[in-house]
Amino acid sequence: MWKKRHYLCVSLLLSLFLMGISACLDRIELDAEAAEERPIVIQGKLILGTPSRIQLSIGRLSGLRTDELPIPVDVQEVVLEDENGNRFLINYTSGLDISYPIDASTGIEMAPGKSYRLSVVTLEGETIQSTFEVLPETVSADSLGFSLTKRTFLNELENEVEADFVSFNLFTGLRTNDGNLARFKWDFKSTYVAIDVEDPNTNFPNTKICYIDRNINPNKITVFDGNEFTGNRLENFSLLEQEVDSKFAYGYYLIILKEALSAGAYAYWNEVRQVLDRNGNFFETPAGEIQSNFTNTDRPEQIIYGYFYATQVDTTYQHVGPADVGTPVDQCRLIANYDELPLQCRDCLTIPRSTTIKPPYWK
Amino acid sequence: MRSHLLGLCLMLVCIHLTSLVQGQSLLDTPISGEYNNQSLDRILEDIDNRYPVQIYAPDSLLAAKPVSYSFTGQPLKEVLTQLLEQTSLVFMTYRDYAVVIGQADVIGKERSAGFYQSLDQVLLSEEKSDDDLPIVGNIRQLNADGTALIEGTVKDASSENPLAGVTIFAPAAAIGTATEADGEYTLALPPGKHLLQLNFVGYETLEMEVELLGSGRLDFEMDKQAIRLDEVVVSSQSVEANVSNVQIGVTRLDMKEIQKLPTFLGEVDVVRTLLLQPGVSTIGEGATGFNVRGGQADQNLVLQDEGFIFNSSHALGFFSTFHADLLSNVTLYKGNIPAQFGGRLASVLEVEMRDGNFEKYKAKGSIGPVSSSISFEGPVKKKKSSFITGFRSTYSDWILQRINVPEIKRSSSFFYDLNLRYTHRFDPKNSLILSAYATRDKFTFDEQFGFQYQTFMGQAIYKKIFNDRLFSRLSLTASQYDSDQLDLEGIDESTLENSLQYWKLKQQISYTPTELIKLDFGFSSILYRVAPERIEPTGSQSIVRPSSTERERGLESALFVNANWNISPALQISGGLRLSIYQYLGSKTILTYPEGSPFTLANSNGSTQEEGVIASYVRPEPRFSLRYKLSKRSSVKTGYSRVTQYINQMSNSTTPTPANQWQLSTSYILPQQGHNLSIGYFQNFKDNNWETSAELFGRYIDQLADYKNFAELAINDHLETELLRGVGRAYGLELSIKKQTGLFNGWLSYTLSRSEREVPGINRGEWYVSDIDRLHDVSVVTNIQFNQRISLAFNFNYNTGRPTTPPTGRYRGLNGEIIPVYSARNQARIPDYHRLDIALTVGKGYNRTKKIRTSWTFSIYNVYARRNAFSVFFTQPALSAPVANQLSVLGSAFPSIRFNLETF
Repeated sequence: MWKKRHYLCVSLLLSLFLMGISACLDRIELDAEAAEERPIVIQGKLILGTPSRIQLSIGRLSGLRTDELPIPVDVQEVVLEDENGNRFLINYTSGLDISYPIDASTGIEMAPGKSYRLSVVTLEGETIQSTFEVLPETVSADSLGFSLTKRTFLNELENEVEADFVSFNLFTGLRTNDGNLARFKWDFKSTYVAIDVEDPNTNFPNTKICYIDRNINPNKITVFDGNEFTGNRLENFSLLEQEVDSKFAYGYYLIILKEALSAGAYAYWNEVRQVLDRNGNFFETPAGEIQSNFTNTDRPEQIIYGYFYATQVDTTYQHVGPADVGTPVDQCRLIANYDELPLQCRDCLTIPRSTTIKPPYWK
Repeated sequence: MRSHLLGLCLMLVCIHLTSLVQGQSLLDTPISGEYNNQSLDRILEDIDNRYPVQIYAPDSLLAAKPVSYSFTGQPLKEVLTQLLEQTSLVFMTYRDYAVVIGQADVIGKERSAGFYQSLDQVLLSEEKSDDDLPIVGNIRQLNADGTALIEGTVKDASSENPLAGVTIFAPAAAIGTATEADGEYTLALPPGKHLLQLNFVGYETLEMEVELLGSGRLDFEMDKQAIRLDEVVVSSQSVEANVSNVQIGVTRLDMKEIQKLPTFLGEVDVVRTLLLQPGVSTIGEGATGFNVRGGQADQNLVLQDEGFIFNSSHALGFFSTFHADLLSNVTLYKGNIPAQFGGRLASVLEVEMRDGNFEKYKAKGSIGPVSSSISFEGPVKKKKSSFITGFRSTYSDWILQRINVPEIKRSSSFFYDLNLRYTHRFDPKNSLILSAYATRDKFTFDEQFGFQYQTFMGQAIYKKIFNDRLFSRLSLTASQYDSDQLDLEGIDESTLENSLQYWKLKQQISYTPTELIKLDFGFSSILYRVAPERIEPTGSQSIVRPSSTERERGLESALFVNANWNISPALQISGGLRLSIYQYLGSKTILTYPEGSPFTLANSNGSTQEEGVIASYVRPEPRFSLRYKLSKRSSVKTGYSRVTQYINQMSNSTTPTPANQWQLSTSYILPQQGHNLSIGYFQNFKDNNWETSAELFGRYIDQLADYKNFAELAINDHLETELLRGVGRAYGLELSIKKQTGLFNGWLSYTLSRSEREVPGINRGEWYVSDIDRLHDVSVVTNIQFNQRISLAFNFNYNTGRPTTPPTGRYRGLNGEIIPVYSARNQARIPDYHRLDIALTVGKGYNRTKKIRTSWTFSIYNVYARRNAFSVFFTQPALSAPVANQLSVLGSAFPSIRFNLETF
């Protein structure tokens, strides 16, 4: 009898132990104050293409509050310069993320291996100048494949669930045309279709087909340095996984934009990746100030954020048909009562970034 | 010689005459008493007790046969005559209060001068007996030559192993001896009060005043603090080490007390106990290592006997690698480090293993929910050689499988450690210790990544006692630490390997030229060999490019001398010098930089292949400590030490990972150097049962390195390009109050401190708090010892949250990314940490005749399930402000149970 009680006691303690163990993640309030200074942030991306263009954004650092929007900055002039001393005065209008074409008329010769820099003269007359950034060689075009896979994860109720995921796999070369190992940054977009649910109360249904564009995880930076790897190709490289849901009900496109990066641009994006990937684990490195390749030539000590680089962008499309992923059901069709449908099920144009214009790559 | 003999004879005659003159009145003392069937001894004792007469008679001479007598007011002389008439004994009087009984042919003849001198001392001692002093023997056991023969054993207080070669010295009599192989000693001393000094290499000098009345037994236990007297103890003497020890900033753990403290998952742990001491902290639960007075984890020299351990953590950092059942002493020097130690800036943790039992076989073990341990010890050849071995291992995977997190389910954790120690005593003065130590850990997470690391260490220690004043300890250590970081899937599947070997030779000699001065001097030499850091692809899909760094070698030698001088009973000083000599050895390819330019790859103007000694540093490191006793129970102490560190762990993460490589000082990575200064007041109360202390400490690091933002440390042959040079400082106040014994015992410690750095290139070159800065740190440890079987212990720990770096702004990238800006390091703090633990120990009883003793330890770690933050990180939800998230490694209460077993 004693032994029986004894074992019960032990079992109880062990059970308590098993119930108790877990790591936890909580949102907390932390006294993190925004910087009083709002340094200037200059971002420029010179893209070789047809046509070539430069993407520009000149603003000030935003604070930490939700309602603090990015602030554009007026400047006296913005000049793009190549390594041969050719200068092109960009007709900059104050704004964030504005694109300007760079064609032959600008005098700037766009070619892989050549270097460029961006200069900004502020309203105070100070010159902020980037270092020269080389336009890297590109590599052979990507090809994509995909496969279905199952993953287990915890849902919002912290129950373990299993779901189908589409795993997109990449096939690409690692060496540039001149034989050097390349550095990349990948950005992901998707296009999927939404179709209005027919209104049973009308004899003239006006259903639309909408194409919705999405940036996939813009805060998830994917960079790759071929110098850290061996071989000349990436084969079946698992690049991205997407859960199978109603977005796949009428077809789905994954669009991969691959930027070729110089060593400097790679270092910049790799630092951005590190500050965005932080999850507090034992092994991560401390957060730090991301480097900039801009310097105020009049006041070198001035803090400036942002980066200028030159790149080529390759775009690859991968279509996934409904049948490829088990014909998922459109969630809007599961609600029988039309009046209870969300607005976006009745009018797909209310979905952000949707259009009824079929993209040219859509089959 | 003749004059001495003449003097003795004259003295003898005088004593005789004196006794004859003064003895008349004493012998007339009327005696009454009824004695039926009692021994002569008892009858004399009764007379001694009831009348103003002291009777001395050796027990061995008195017949045990019972006799019967009846006295009614008879003079003492007549009574004694009657009692002794059937024996060969006679009596004589001494002064006006004593009677001495002895053999007729001895009394007044053999060595009587010494005898009577001693007798005089004994009798005077009895008159003036100090109740505070332990008394050895009684007047009946005085030797005929007037000396008292003390016998006894000197043991290690923790392990109760006998200690061979301990010197026992009585300065006033200038007489000393040393313990034999079995720890036994004999010492002949004249009766009276004597200060006995016990010295043994590696042990605290023990000083004890005893009152010697006659021959008897006096056992000592040498350890950190306790002195115990058995059998002949009249009154125990409480410890005074807190007040009398000259070294400031020293913490010693009582291995018996450790067993009673609450533990995490039932595992008794040395390092976790250290964390409850003032000035010792950790980054968080699961963090590797510990931090002392604002120092980094790699600034602690962790020694197991003579060998240092580069990674003393199991399961990343949840447990330490020390098997508590095998240890005899654990000492932490928190700043003022004696000259025989060196090579680290912050502290020395000296963990000493004990010898196996030389008499009999013993076993000890414990079983807990995640780990078990077992140890065996016993003689190889009785009294000559012994062994002790211990093994610990975990089986925690069954718990991981039950955690409702898929990633954890796909994880595993395993470790073991193994110790083996063989001790051989060639003779009482020569002994050899051979020991081996091995640990291994493997940890994988979500079948994605993992670590595995292992340490192998072998040691040979030869101890020689030349004479009572001169000891030698020669040691040779060889060790290898290997660590692998595992990437377990995809194209990254690879192993990043690190390995570090060292060979260490150390000779330490302890010399005590006088009873007031003790010298420790010697040399040590360590040859480091850092194997090439290597990354290798492992899976078929892996495209990781194999690469490696060059190997590195360094030779760190030191000459040291440390003197301990008792200038007066109140004033004791300890001073020393360590001259460290370090050489960075080739061959090695090193980058060259224009003079004065920062070390960056862009600035490098080439490389050269260097051979031989590439860089050399000689650093004199003075050490000094002083203790001044204000009273018997209070003292002030101060200390200073200059320290240099030639090897550092390259870690830029929240806590060092097992795979972080160790980097030797080079031409560009200069040795770290620091000044440590402490001053404190120490006061004991209530017969030393209460110890209090207040210590102010300061450390100035005039040469340190910190990491650039996003430093790339792996497979980097030119780590100087990732480092920035600067200075650092740590300062604070440590308060401690401790109650040693009683129903309630334990301690309270509080530390108020700062740890800061100034590094050009970080935070605009301004001072900033280091990652391990803790403004407040409080620990309360309470042990309720209901009886010998049951004890209940509580720990409470509170400390200020450590610094973290928050974002100060953000901007939107060209692709819609919201990029946070972290402009300055450590400008915010994670939430404060606090935790309560409880442990109930039930078992070990009074019955020492049992062959096996068992006990149970029930404990709850983190009783109120506080979700203490290990780290804080910031995420950027769409269309909203950055959010702070806290990661709590242990977010719940952790009950555990442990079964302990010990054979005797």
